[in-house]
Amino acid sequence: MEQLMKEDSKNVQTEYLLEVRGLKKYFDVSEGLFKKRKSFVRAVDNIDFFVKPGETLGIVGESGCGKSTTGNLIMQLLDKTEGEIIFEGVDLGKLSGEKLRRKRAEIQMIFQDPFSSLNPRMRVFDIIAEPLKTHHVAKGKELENQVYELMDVVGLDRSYARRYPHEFSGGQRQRIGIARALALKPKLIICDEPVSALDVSIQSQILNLMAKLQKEFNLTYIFIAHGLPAVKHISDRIAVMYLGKIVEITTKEKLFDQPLHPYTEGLLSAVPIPDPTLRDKKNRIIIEGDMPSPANPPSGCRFHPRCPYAQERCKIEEPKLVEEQQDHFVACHFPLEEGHGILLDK
Amino acid sequence: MAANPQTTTGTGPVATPISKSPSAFKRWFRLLLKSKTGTVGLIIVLTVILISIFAKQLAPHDPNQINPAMMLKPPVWMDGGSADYILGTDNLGRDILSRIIFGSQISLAVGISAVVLAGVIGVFVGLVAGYYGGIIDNILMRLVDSFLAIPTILFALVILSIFGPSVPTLIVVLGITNWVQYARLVRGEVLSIKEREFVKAAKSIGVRDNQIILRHLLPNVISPFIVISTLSVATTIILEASLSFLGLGIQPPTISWGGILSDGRDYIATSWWLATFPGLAITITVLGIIFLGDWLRDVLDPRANNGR
Repeated sequence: MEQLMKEDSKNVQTEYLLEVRGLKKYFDVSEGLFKKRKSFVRAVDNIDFFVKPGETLGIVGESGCGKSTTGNLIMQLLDKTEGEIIFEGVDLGKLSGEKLRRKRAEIQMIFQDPFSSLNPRMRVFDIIAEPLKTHHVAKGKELENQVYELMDVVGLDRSYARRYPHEFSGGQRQRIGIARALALKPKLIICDEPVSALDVSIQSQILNLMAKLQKEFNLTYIFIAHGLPAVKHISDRIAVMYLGKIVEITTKEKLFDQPLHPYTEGLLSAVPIPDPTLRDKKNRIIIEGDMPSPANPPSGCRFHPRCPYAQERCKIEEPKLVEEQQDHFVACHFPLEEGHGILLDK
Repeated sequence: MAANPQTTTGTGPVATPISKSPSAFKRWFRLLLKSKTGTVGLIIVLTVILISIFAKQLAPHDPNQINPAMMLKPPVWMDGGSADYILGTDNLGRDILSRIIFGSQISLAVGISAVVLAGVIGVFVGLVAGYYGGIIDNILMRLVDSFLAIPTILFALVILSIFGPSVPTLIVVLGITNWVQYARLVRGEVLSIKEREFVKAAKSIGVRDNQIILRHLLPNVISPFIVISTLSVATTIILEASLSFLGLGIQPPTISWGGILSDGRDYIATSWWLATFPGLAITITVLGIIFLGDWLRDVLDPRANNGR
């Protein structure tokens, strides 16, 4: 039986590069010597989404909403509590040891902090060469060539190869990190707030580089950020997370034109609009208060204590993520009407 | 105090050329000249090592030659001193200078080997406990705790009286009593470093655990280890002296600084030179090692030129 099922799942051709089903991550924070109080932080609580090959999925939400945890779970850096992470039709959770090591190489990560993501005691050359050496992709002269090619691709001067990370600026360090992520020719790259630690002037350079690389190598990105402006340009689709849940997921255009979830509306209000005439017309929705603790989430809809439109039902019943419109999923009992969006500049 | 500002800031003329980084050796040498204490440390340590190698040639007397006629002679510059015995003689008329020269061999060998042994065990345990965490960490750290609970001297006495005092036993005993501090130190460092993103990056690349420990963790925990271990060479030499004093350290006729020091303790009130000169030898050597350790830490850190 099991054998059959395994065969079956192998043969299923999916149109998705990555599919996440019912993913949960609870961190045990039980206190006391005798474990009297069992409590968990529900960092990621039952989320589903998929990523198509070649697209960029933005994941947006406040700090602590579980977006980085999601990234780490996909990367297999954390063990999930429950759920499936299916990459190219293979459930990564069922792989272990050497197989996982190989498969995982097809997913790479670009990190938020370019200062802690590079080993201060390794030279640039060795940092970029490490993935190639680890998977025995190349040796000697060939290795050297590949490293230099990667440096060219991300716009680093070849003469930097023998330097240490501390000799570089944040933007250049991030380029080193990108080169390292590209080395194994991954299919999926998880970008965990890759530009939020950089100067604004450098941010767009790095984003442009990433967009260029996506075209060049047919990459798929999961782009994690805490605000919509950061993912606006690069994303095809955007998932909005709140307190461990996905509250809305749809294409960028639909999300900006017609958000269905009040939280998305709040995030959109926070997007700065350069044109003052447009800005004045818009009602600004300010979400008040702080995000509740994921250790003790509110009943019903998790957003209800901060939601300007909350009603009695929201306190009791938890809304499910449903396809309200085509390709537009939302988890809200009372989705917004039209006219809450903002105009998306080209 | 009256340091020349040009030498202390000292970046200008020796700044790294832009196009190529200097070879490791050149960089070391440059850093050595830049650091006055490092130079002093290196000179002291090299001198002590040379003295211990050429002890036979350098010592004016046989260090174990008892000469009843020359008992408790003061150093040469004092009344009753003799040019034959520059640093005086001990209660058996043995030449102190010769004894110190020969003592350097054992003291250095024991001090350094014990610290190296302790360092190897401690760093390994600390890396493994810190990196893997969980049950492994718990078991190893409880082991460390239990070692900490045993008084060092008592433990050393028990082991030495069971196996008999000899230089190798002494090294092993001192090594085993010392490794716990490195284990704790290294584990603490690893706990903070393993959360840094470059370790996550290495994991996502698929680097194996042993390689992560070797290439990413070890180089980043080595600095505090070097500082502590150089200090520890000092305490080890002194611990060896205590054990010799208790009669379970280096056995005569083998000479160690600790042994000379404890021999001289009974005469400290009347003939101060018996204990003072070996003590001075220990102090100077230890200082040299510490200076050298500081410089070594800087050399191993690629950021040394910029500070941080």
